[in-house]
Amino acid sequence: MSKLLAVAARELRERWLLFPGALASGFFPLVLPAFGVPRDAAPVVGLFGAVLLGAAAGVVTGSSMLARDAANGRLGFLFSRPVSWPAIWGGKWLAALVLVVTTGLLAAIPWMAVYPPETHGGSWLRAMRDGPGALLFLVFIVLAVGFANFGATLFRSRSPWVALDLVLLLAVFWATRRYVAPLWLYGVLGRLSDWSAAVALLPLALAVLAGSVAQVAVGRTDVQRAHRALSLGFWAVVGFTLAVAAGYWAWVRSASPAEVRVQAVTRDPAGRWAYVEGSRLRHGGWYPQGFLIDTTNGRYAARPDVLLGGPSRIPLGALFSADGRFVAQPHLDHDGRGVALSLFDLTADTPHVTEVALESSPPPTWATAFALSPSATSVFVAHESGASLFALPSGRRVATTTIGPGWQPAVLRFLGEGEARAWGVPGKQARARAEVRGVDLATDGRTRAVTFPIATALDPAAAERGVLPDAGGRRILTRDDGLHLRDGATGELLATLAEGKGRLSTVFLADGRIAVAGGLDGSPANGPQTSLLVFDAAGAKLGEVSLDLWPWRLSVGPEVVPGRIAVSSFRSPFLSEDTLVVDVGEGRVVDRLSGLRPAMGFWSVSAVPEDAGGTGVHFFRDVEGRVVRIDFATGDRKVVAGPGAPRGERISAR
Amino acid sequence: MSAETTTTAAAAGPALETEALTVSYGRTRVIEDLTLAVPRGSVYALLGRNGAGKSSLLRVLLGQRPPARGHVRLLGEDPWTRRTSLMARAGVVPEEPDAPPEMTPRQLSAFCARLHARWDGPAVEARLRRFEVPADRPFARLSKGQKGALMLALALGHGPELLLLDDPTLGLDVVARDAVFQEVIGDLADRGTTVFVSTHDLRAIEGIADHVAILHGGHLALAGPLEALKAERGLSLEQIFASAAGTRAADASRTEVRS
Repeated sequence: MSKLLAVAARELRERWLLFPGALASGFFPLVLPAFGVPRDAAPVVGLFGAVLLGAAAGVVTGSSMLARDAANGRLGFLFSRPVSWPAIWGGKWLAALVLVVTTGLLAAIPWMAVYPPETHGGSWLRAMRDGPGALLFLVFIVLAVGFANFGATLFRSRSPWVALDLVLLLAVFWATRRYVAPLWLYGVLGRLSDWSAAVALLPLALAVLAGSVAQVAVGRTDVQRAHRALSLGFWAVVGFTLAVAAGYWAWVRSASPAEVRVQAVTRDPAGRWAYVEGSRLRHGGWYPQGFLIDTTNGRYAARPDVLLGGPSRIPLGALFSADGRFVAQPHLDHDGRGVALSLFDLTADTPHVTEVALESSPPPTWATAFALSPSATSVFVAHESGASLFALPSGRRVATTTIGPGWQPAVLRFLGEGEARAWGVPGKQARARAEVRGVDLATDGRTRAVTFPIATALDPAAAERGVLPDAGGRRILTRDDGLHLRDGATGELLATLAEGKGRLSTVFLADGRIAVAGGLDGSPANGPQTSLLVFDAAGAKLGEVSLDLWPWRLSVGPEVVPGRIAVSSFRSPFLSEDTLVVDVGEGRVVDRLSGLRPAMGFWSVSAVPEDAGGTGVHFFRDVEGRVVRIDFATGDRKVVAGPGAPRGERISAR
Repeated sequence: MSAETTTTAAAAGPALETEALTVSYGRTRVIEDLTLAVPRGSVYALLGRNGAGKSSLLRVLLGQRPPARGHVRLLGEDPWTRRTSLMARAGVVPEEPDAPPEMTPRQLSAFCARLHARWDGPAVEARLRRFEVPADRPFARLSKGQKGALMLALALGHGPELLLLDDPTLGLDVVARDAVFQEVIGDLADRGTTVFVSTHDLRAIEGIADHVAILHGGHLALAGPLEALKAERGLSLEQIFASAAGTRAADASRTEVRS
């Protein structure tokens, strides 16, 4: 230890001029007010200067402590004495750390004496005193000194090994983007809270320390050999860290549907296939890994690794074709500049996947909406400034229209295999305009747009709830100062189902009837009572049922069997809710699904409409994120995803 | 074998020995298959022209570089793995004297005193006076001869069993060179200290060395007691050196050499 201290003391003696220099620089912020700089800004300048000086001291010390001494033979002076390499290494590093910390502190003393922390918040001082702040501070110092040493060694050795360093650097960038960035992006590291930044950088600090250990222990006085040792030590730790990160990420991603808390579900009309997305229970942050599950036998395919939707990482869900033969998953293309689809053919024993790049389609945003044609021969994409139809599986754009800017697609429907319609509302820039815009596109290139007035402007942030079309897109319901039934093509008002503002949920039944649940403002809504109104296809009221449900964020539908609909409320994500099954013809509750709500779909994709006809198989979700498949025809129930789901066979889509 | 037996055997063996030693820089071999033994108490001169591999051999002997092949023993121990303890028993004078530039000889002596368990500060001061090295002048401002003398004084400060000198008179004037070698002759030989000196200063070494080895192109050209070699060949050291170098000239031309 005494030798280590002797080495450190000598290092400090060599650089002692830094100390008075730092102290002198600490007076600089004090004279700034004399030059017109606001008095409040002086401590900020002082802090910046102290940090800068400390960093500079780290770089200067790091670049000279080993590489310079090895190159000019001075390291041989120590190595020809009875001083172990740990003492040489430790003494040099100790001196470097003392120099950086002392330089920074000395540069802070003069202005801190004049501007004590309480006069300017001093939050940075408190941050440095707590555990994460102190560790981060130490990590930054080690990185400054260590990388300066690495750079100086690299420069002085001038060995061909530099080329390998550069290759490894590129490899590490690639691996970091692939394996570490997702951990950060999806909040896996965020679980460490205040420690996450320090923990993320700690391996790098350990790598420069390990590298310098190898440099001294193995390289000793030969600068080229020292460079090789430093490189090997550094890259070994970096490589090990990346391997651990990659392994952890692979482990997180290898979870089965039983190990996710499901948030959204879409399904094919027959109820055989379901696509679920949820956050992983394996500490996966909020990485929205999805599974395509054959709910009849539990076999599942994990969603291929794709880029999610743009910088905001929007989960885009999946689109089933009405014939149940295909499912498409929209995602960012490999360049991150457009939309691509993974199109799965579900008719084979193992789903066959085709990657489709959509021609000239902008990257998805929160406003982008998707719909798949009934036989999956085309896909409809609407975004802020326009809408386009793309042929599948070629991805060729067959029809497009420009609408924007400021257009917010609300909902899309295919009117037939080759014809689609989108309804949208003015975006945030023009939200006061009370109108809806309907846009028709056909695969033969025809386009048509119509704008029609409505009673009040719809909220663009909730546009998907403002317009509800029936399965064929012939009729729409608009929630504009009440609830209005309109012609889907022209917007002509057909009937007013309710007037005034309120919380309403609606569904078209397969036979054309309309069910509406909720209460308008002014109606008694403070108790657990909800009214369910039933209208015929023309909008004439047929009856009303009073339900024992809180009228908060009501969900009406699906129509579980002809004439019977599910109705539920949603008070909180943390509260278990029951779903009532109501026979709208008889006007009574026929069943109560305890602790279950209809599973929500993805807001960006248009699911196959509930009123398009089905088999009586429907999916519900509980508060724990389990997905329960209920066959209302047979009464069969089973958990298909989420905690407690059976672990089915994992298959790979080809 | 007990530790005591090992120590005894080591003490009885050569002060320095190499066996089939090869030293490489990458693919370039600077010393190849060198087998050498330096008797204890001898003054052993390693001769060779510039680039013969003398300095590379010294680095391996000092534990600053591992051999590519073969074995090295310094005072019976492996210098790569036992460098720290060996440096407590050996003194080193490098080819290019270098030390922290801001430190004076006196400060350097004090610094070395903290690194060695045994340090004779007054003896170092006395040598510095004898060599006329100013004790309070920073190392950077000393002349080359003064730096060399300082290195020698520091190398002797802990009373080493073995002194390794790497071309210690390179660039020194005649007076400084004589001072270095007089120190070696007068002070060390009488104490039984083994001296291993690499040099190409044949004239200066001839009077003090009792063993010589001639290194040429990374190979050992000749080794043995100096007087015996001279008597056997009826030649002076210079003639022996020229003859040995000439013998190996063809080999040397095929060997890329760094030192």
